[in-house]
Amino acid sequence: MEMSQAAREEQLHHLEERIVNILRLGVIVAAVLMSGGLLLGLLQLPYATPVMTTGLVVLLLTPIFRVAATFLAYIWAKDWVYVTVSAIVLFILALGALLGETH
Amino acid sequence: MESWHLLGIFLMSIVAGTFGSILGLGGGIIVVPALTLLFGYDYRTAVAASAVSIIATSSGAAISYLKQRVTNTRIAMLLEVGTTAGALVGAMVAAYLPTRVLFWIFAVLMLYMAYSMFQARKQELPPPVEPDRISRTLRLEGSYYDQALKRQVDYRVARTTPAFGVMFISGGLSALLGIGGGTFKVLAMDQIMKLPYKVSTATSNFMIGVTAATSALVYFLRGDVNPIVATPVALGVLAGAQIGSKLMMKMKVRTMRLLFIPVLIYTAIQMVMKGVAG
Repeated sequence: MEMSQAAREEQLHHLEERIVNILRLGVIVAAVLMSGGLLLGLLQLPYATPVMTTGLVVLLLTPIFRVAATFLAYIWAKDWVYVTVSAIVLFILALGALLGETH
Repeated sequence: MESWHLLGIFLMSIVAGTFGSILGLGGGIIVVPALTLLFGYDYRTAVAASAVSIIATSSGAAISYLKQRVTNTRIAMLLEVGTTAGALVGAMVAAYLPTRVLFWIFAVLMLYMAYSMFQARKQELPPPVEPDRISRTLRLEGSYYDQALKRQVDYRVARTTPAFGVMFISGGLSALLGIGGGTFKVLAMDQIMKLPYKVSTATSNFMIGVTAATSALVYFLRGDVNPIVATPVALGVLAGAQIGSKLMMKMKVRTMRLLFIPVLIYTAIQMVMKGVAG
């Protein structure tokens, strides 16, 4: 089944809007936690480091979560070419993390 | 915590995030030397903080670039296969390869591209190209509104296979050295695939977060990420990425290229120094 150019374009637009939402959520949550932790630290209150660390972890997971969400969105759109492409990226990322390669 | 010290790191990171998001490189090129030379941190802490800064630049700027539709998410996903696979394979086979020779070749390639970029500095958009078969099958073409030119720019994509090959090898090499990842992404899209320059930098910016996330994860588990350093870096870079991504949309390509060329020359020299001299 061949989709029209316009329908494809519409679908891509929709996907990119979702990616924007994921990135925005990740960045805002991370920024709130990191600034909160930093503020606790400056005021010499407890829990500064764990709050900052949680913020950093959220920031760090945002791009990985983005690839995973894109993969799911391609499945949902039945775009099998890009399901395959994003599955390969996810697989390599997982393998790299398991093997502990650093850059 | 010394608050003046933190403020210094924060301000430096705003600058790093601004330039990093304009050029599509992440802020590492500024963050690592600044943290080691100016703020006196050891190399491991600086490199770990730099990985965090790349993720912050990438995610922060991607929000505006995606909304402006200047990022090509399909090309990003495709080339991510090349870089991530290259990084993985590179680390495994590095011991059996003439890596010194490869570093020389890629440093020279980088300088050559700096030269051809300088020659094309007056070109705001690349001349139209005949799309290759892969780029047609994978629907890599795109369109965005250029605020500097004040018009819609439609583009098609050529030479996907050689660009993928360069991404694979450079992915491995930059993983080994920890430099040049973003640089080669921009070059492959601009010089080989003939994408509009802004699409190349925005798409590179989008991709670098993914590669950096895996390395940052490893640094994190090793305990190299120092939250007191990484947090002001990340916050500053996020702020800088907001500024940079807004500025870039209004910039002339000529200005962006003139900012990028010195970075290319610097990275090529660094590649030879770290990769060849050890």
